[in-house]
Amino acid sequence: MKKIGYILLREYLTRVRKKSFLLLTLLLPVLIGLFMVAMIVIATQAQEELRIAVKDESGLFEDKFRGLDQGEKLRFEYLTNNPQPLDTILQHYESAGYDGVLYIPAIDLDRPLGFTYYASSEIGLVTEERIEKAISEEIRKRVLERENYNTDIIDKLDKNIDITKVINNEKQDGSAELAAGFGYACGLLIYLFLIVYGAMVMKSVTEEKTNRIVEVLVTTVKPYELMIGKILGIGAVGLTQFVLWGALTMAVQTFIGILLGDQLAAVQTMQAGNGMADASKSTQIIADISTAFQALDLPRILFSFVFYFIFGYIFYASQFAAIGAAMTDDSDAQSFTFPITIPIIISMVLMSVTLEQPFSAAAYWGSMLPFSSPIIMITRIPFQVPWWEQIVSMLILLVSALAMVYVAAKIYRVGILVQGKKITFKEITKWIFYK
Amino acid sequence: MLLLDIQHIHKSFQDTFALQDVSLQMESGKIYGLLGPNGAGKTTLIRNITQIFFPDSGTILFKGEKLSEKHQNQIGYMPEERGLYKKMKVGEQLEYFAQLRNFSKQEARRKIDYWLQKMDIESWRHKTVEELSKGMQQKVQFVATVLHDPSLLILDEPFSGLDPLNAEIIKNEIFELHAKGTNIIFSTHRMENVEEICEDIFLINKGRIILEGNVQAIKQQYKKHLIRIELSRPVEWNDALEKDIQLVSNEPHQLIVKLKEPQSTNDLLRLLLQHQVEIAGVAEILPTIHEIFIQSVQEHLPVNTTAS
Repeated sequence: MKKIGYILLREYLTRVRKKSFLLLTLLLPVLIGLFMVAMIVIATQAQEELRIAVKDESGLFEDKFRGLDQGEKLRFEYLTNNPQPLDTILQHYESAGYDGVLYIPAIDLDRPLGFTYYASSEIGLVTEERIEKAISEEIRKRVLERENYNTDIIDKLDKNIDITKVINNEKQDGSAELAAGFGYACGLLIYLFLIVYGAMVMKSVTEEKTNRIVEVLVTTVKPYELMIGKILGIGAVGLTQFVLWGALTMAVQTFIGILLGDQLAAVQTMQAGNGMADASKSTQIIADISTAFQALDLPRILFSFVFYFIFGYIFYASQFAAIGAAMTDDSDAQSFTFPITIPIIISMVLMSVTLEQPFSAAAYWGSMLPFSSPIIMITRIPFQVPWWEQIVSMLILLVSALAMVYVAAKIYRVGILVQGKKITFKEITKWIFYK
Repeated sequence: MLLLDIQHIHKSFQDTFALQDVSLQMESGKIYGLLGPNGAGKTTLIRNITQIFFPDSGTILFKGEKLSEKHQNQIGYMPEERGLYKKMKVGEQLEYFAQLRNFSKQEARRKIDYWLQKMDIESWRHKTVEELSKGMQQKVQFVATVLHDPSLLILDEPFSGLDPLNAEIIKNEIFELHAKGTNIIFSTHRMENVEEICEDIFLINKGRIILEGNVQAIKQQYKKHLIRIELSRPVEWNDALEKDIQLVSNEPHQLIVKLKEPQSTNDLLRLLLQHQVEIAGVAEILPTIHEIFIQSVQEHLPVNTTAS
């Protein structure tokens, strides 16, 4: 056991001390931070002051754009007392201090056409949409009035509907979308980890084999100790990276929050939009998300993630180690890794099925079989899988991972000392039964 | 007590026999040579001793006990193909190997200091292995092998790739360790080193021991009774000489003759003196291990010579 510790430590330290590891681990949170800063800067910078003159020949929209004003950022000015024709206005609006002219012709309510914006530069997509919305809402009201309806009917028609779910007599607060998003993120992380770190284990085993260090090492340690030390050491590197990414990303976000707090708030209020209706809608969404978050069993998800992360890794890394030991040169890699990567890739396909129907037979069996359970079960857990299912799945994975280590150690032991000849899968299966 | 007592071991891989009924005994305090062509089974035999493999049948006794894991720390093995972590620093690497041998950190440091100074490679401690030349790497590998004071040192082609100067350094270290009581098994297919270093040899071919014994005794056994006579003056060969002496070659400065049964070297000298041959020097020509090796491999027959 002590020797496994030394091997683990060497594998861990040599990787963690590498410049590439440090770079990758630090760079990602910094990139995320830079991205955030860029977003804030762009959002605040793009909003320069905009004064728009409104020439309304229909006379329907007086003061209808008031709601769109945003202090100094965006201002609509209604040219009520300006009898000049559009052509004259267009010649002088810039010298009068306007950035653009919104022209509304005398329209026919049934065919509202001819709205035009004149300016020397584009207006933002959001502003354009808001203007269109304000106009169309006003037109709707006018049409209703003409047809002798009470205009309040618009507010009465505008209803938000929510479905309350009662599963097994229990009221659910959760949102399927959020659960799916969470499940997808967890599954994807485990998938990436299995592929990247599995390949790292394989490469490291093959390297030790080709430069013959194993021949020296196996006179002092047992091959299985060497293999387990390596798998655990590299796995610890992966865990470290994930923990650091999580912590650093949070730190960077907090830092940006402190540094650019004011701008951030400004962007948020801007994004929250204008008008009471919009504001209440977005608060409603935020409230929904936070109740859904509370409904997610986060401790359970975290525990399950760590469990499937570790044992899924051991299950696959030992296969990669065995294959790495059997290879005689890198050109074998493709044909050898194929049988291992296929189940991982199938799991990814199964994951999208699982997100659609988390309780289908495919999802159920996918979360039981050890080849796919690390990815599929973690995808399903936010949908509140019964505990007994998860416990059975975890037991299967645990036993399979240990069995896989045992079988892999048998292959590894023989493989690392075989040099110079092409190995077939038939031979590898024979090694398992060697004394 | 025997250092190593190998009794009737067999080892096969799938359909090929790597070792067939190999038995050998090694005494303490000697330098043994393990000779054989490539693929003869030398490495397989060594791997059975270092417990990388286990024999299909037969037993191996180490100092009278059945060879087991606890003996691993008494054995040091330097494989033919060198193995070091290329990107690791020399000092850290040696420390790692020492740790795997259950040394404490201080003890490991002390040993490493001693050996790095002894081999005059102290300045490489903080260099990575890939920065070193092949010969330098070999020295580091040697240190890694002897760091834990093994009582049995197994060296597989220790001089391959070394320049004469460094080969001499390693050779002297081997002799020094031997003088301090380390037992040494020296595996090679290059015979010229064997005569210089080994006291006893085992010749292995196709998974069997085909010749074993003391180097000098084997040479005596395989000698062809050839004598080299160095001459002060060229000899005129005549019928009288022909009658008494079997000539192999006659050159201006030397004669090579084969003794006729039951002639002794003294008899030969007497005859030559009678014929007024002027002798500057006399030496018996013994076969080289290389010649014996080739001869025995060609004979394919197991020959036994008891060590004298």
